Amino acid sequence: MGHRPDCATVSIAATFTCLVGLPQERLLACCEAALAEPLEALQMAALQVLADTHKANRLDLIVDHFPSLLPQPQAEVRRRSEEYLRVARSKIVAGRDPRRLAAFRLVAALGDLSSVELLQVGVADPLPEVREVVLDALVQHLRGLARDLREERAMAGGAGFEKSPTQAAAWQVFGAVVKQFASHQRVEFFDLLAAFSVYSMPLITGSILAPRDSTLGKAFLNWLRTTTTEGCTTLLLSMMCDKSTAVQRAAAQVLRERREQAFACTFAAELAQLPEDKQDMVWFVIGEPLWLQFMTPVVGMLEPAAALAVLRLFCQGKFAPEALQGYLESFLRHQDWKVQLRALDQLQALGFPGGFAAVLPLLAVPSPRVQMAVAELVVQKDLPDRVALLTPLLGAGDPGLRRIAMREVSKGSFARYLQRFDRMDPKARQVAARALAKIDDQLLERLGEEIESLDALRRLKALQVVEFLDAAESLRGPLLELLADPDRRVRATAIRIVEWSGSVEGIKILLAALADPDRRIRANAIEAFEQFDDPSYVQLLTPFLRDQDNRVRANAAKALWNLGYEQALEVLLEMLVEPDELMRLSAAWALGEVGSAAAREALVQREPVERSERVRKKIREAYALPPEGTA
Amino acid sequence: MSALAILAVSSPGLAAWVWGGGCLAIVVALPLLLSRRAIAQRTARREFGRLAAANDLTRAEARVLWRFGCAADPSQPQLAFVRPTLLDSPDRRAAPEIVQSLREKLFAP
Repeated sequence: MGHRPDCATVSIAATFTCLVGLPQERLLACCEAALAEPLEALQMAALQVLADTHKANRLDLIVDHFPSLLPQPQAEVRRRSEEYLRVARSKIVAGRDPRRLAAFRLVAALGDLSSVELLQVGVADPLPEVREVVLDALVQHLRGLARDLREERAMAGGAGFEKSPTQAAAWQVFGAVVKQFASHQRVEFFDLLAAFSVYSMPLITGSILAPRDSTLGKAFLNWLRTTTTEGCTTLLLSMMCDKSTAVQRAAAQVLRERREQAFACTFAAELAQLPEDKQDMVWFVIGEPLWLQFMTPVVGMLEPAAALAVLRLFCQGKFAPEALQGYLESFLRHQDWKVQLRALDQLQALGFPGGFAAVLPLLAVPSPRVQMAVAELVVQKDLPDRVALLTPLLGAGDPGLRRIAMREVSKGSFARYLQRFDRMDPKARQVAARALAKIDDQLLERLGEEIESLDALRRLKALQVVEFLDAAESLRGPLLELLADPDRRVRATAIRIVEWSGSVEGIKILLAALADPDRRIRANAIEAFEQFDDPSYVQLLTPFLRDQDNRVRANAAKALWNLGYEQALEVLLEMLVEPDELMRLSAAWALGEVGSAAAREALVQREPVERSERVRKKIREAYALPPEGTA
Repeated sequence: MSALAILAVSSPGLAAWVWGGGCLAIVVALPLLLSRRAIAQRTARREFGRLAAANDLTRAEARVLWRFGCAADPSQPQLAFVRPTLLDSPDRRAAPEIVQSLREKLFAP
């Protein structure tokens, strides 16, 4: 099925078939009138007649009407753009063609970078419309060039490269048009300086800023003070790194007037991409006061890399330590953990002359690494409220962090427990000790440290806690050393709680303890032998049935009874009727412990005749003991 | 000519006046009848007629279009065949249906 032209095309074709028979003058008038009409089919028909070398052959008229062409005829012109550009060029170079505006428009629309030189002709045109068109077109083409140069530079890995002849020519045009700023006042060309980035520097230093106080130079610096165009910060940094001090000063002056936070952030981000020696140069050019005014308010908003670069420069400043701490603390409020850690490192190197207050909130930041660093700092600096500070970290997700918190909180709890030990009753002491053992997996280690304390009272408390926790077996080494403790209460307690079996060294110590001048030590040593449940020790203990001390004698009798020496009961029965009240008291206790029928009978008979209330009470307590064999 | 001769005999003054006025009239009328403008007008009418025929216009349509063309450029009324925007200009004498018909015949897609 062939193509069926629509009605209009048929009518228009019929019209133009007739028109081509007209004299040239009227044919051209009709074609021009048709090109000015907003009807694509009509324009196409006129265009075909005018472009036909056998008919009108007047491309110049099409060029004249190019601005009014609709998309389809424009596309047709584009298809043969080289021919039309040639015609437009001849119109432009011929001089003041009254219809040159259309020619410039065509060049602006169809020309590539090579047409930039032709467009430059119109920059000084007396017609404002022509100037407008060419300047707009130049901006477009030069933006493309800037983009290409950036891409090519990126592909070359940042190294310099040779411009093509077309690019070089366009660059020359750019330089010339920038210098004509006074006539056109188009700041887009300054934007282009930013777009060309480092390529612009020779132009800026050589032509724009070289003549002192030139109109162009002032206009450029004014633009730099207010522009937000991409790349202006790169330009400013390049100026700061320039070898000319005048250029450096001009850049610093511009920076002095830039107060926007977004600008400062972009500036810092660009700065971070420079090598460190260039960063140092920028720092030097800006100077500390301006740097503080410019950067301090935005530290928390900077990209991490930018914040790290700015932080490094801050540390190079010649600030008083307290002042520097203040500046560094602003980096602690940054969201990125690397920045926070670096700031912490620097503060630590500085020695925290202004205190730790600003650091402590970091215990609540999301990063475990930062939390860990601060927690370690809290421990290392032994802050007085470290337990309260670290307690919230007991529920931290990070196991290492939990461990630190647990250790410190437990240590604090253990210290408080020991402080309050004397004010607690024995039951409370025991309950608290067991509760502590549940939360503190290093309690035994801490007890070991306490046992080695120089203070006898602390050693004694530690021993009592060991007894509460039934932890003598675990602390056997340090406890054995306490058997020779200079303090008799410590020795006595140690003898009572040490697990003796299987220790030759321990037996030797116990034997020595039997000869100790302190009655409690002898009594406890006897109890220890009783625990061995070995009848071979009967002979060793029988001499103590005649000990002068009531407690030693009663312990010896109880121990010997339990080791199978039945005569021991006789000693206790004798003690129960001794005139010495303490002797009777110890006998009542020991008979209760023995718990045999004979012992119970003796106690029952003694109770009504006993004249000491204390002894009677002890006898009654002994009654309550279960008879032997029913425990 | 015989009438003029009789008049010249009977009233020579009047005859001379008539002779002179006639020449003058001829002298005045001839350039008018044969002027470039008129020639162009006639040419334009002829060309317009050919275009109208090629586009299958009725006499009424052609008349209306001619009027539009002359109103825009009296020297080139045929331009109306390539200027659809002319049909948008107000013309009280043009019937809307004829204008519409012209649009459809000449320019409608």
